[in-house]
Amino acid sequence: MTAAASVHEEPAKSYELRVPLFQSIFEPFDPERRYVVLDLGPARSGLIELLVGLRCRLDVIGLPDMLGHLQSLEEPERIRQAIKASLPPPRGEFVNVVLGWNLLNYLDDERIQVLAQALKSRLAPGACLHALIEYSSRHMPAVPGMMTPRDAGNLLVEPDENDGLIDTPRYARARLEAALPGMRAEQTMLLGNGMQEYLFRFSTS
Amino acid sequence: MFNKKESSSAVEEPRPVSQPARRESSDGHRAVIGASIHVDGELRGEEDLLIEGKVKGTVELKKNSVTIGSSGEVKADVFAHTIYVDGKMHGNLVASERIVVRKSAEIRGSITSLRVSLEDGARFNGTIDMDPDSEALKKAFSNRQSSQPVRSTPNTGKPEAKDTDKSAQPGA
Repeated sequence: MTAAASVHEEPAKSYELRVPLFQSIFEPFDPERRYVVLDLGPARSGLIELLVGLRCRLDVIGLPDMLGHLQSLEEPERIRQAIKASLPPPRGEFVNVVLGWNLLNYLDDERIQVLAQALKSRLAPGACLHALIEYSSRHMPAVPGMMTPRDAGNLLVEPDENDGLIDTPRYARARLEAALPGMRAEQTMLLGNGMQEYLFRFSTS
Repeated sequence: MFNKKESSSAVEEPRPVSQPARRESSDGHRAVIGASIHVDGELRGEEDLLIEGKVKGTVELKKNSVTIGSSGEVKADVFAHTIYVDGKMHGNLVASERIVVRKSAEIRGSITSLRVSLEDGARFNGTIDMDPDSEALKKAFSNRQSSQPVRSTPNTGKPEAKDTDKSAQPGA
């Protein structure tokens, strides 16, 4: 019996995941300073609750809804245009934090690169990208499950295995850095669920 | 944690779906744009409004609530005291008090209010701004008299941060 089949018999349950690097993003937020947070995932109540009381603007693009479309596009320029069309107008501001959740696992190297290029002009110097990358597991749900902040240091992970499982890309650090031009992995941490937590830093140099 | 201001702008827990939100003015009166009605232009007034039809343009009910009902389709900029969204919205929502986005909502545009609650499952693409110093909020409600102060903390005397701050390095 394959691992995928055994999971189907017993649906994955939601669980809480400690995410120290996610927490480290928000802890130094100065309440007097305005920040722009770009959420690549869908809108979620937990993130809004986390940001309340801070001078934050939250941009949400809902990448999971676009994944099928992005994967169907072959030409990088068309992929770039689709991503750009989903970005809210900059309104003269630059993004300080990009939240990638588990979504990079669902893009190949080329699409990650196009995404990074599309975001590049929107990022403030020193902006960071947080991402959770499948590391230990060879399989992951075919569609990204929801990850919702319970508080700054913990996410509620709700795997969605209704569409079965697929192989994980198991991106290594060097491969991700190659796919994310202008970004370097500043910190990484292996999490309790076998995912690798990454904090990338954008540099203009 | 988070060095948050002790602001009055706490997000309220989303109401259970079964619990109806307050959607009528104190005298219980509420205007309704029915499902078969199409409005193209500028709507102003001083009573609560439920939109179940199609509205394009601008909706300004700054002292009242606007509800975009489950069959409502709005392509407009909406300014109100409180805004509830169950239906489809394309444009900018600005509320002096609160914006409530239900899980049936589909929004593309911006949400600006001190308090925003969003039920998981709602489809949203755009910007959510809860900054008390938001330019959009100041511009729309320059003479507003919200029931809650914008900030509960006293002015520290520090210079205000500019809206565009390229030097911030969260996570550093």
